[in-house]
Amino acid sequence: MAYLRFPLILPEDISNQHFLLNSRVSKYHKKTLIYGLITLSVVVLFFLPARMVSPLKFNFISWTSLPVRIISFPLLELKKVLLYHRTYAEYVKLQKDYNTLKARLIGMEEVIRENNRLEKLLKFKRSLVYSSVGANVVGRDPSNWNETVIIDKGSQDDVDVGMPAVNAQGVVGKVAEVSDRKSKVILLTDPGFSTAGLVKRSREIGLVSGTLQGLCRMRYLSANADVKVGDQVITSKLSSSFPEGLFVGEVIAVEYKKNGLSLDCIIQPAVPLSQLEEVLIIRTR
Amino acid sequence: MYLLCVILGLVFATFVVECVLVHVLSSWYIPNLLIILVVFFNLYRGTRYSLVAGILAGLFKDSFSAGPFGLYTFAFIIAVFFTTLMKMYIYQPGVMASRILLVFIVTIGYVTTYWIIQLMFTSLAFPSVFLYILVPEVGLTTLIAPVAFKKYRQCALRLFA
Repeated sequence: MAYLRFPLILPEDISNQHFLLNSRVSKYHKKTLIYGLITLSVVVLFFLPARMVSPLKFNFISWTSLPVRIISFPLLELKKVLLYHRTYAEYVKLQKDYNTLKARLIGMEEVIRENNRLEKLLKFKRSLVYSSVGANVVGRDPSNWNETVIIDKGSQDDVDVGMPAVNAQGVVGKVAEVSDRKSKVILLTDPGFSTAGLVKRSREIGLVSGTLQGLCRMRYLSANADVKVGDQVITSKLSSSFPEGLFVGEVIAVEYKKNGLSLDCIIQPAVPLSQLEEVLIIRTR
Repeated sequence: MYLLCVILGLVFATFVVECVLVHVLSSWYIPNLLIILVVFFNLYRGTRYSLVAGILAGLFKDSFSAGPFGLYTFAFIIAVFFTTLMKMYIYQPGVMASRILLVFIVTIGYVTTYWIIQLMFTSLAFPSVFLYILVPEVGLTTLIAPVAFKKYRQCALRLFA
């Protein structure tokens, strides 16, 4: 009677089990297929033109920037109170600089008048006069990968993609995306930023780009370029976005390449980008 | 529908907290709270809800980024699948250490995925990514994970009850 220990399996049961197994397998495949499709559809997003996704991005930025500003306001005020000694030291330094510059300006006025006279005499006209628009920083990219800020001026204020963003201390970055009332500025220290730069003292030209460390790197300088720590770097006229002569930063290290073909410089940006509150957009078009 | 609204609300709130942290702390590194939320949803509600949270988190981050649209979304989706895979081997219900280990591994996976995809558009050397992104982001996210898990659990208990 040993055969009674085994369950009796009828052909109908076998077909039912097959059906159950098949439905489970097809369900599993269906799930995998849906997950795969979701992943693939996101890959398609990478290659969509910027104008198609820009409205969606800026709509979201508009919703987010208000709560961020409301919550940040008391915290920022508290930060200002806690760091008052740093602000005071800066105030003393600026007061000193102001007095020195004021003394120099008195002598300069005469030089400017003389310059105007000579300009008229030579019938010289300045070709590089740009208008500009001031903007407030209303948001910041919350990631460790990118250095981007959102400003409250857009195409309605004649801001366009590629326009330079500066402040009194020097270059801040350039406009990367524009909507009607807001724009995204890619900062000097973003790995995606690049512009032609010039070492002020030796007139050596290189490509300034951002790094992940919050500094800039000047590449493609010739191997025997005359660059020293402390040299000032300004924008070059080779740059398609920036007017010539804007202060970028100071060289803090010079790196010689192993292949001996070129050298790189590490630049400390002139503008403290982490404390950015206002920028000036230069309308170059 | 209610669940979707709760997920959207939690993702949005977490994103706002990240923005505020960046705004206030400025030059400091910030923990990736959204990846902790994605891992939390994966453990608490399963892959499907975690996927929704991941896609929303990615879309939010992509909106503020100047890079190609979809990079963060893709990285978050991969992080969701990676969490589902890793939790089978690592996660032990009720053990906080296993959750933290899971966050640690998933954050490494997320940063690596993002770096690999970004190589299509920008060249970033791995040593600098390791030193300036991977180490601070993974370290801070792992450190903050126990507190974040506790807070998310409290929120979930109230909202999903």
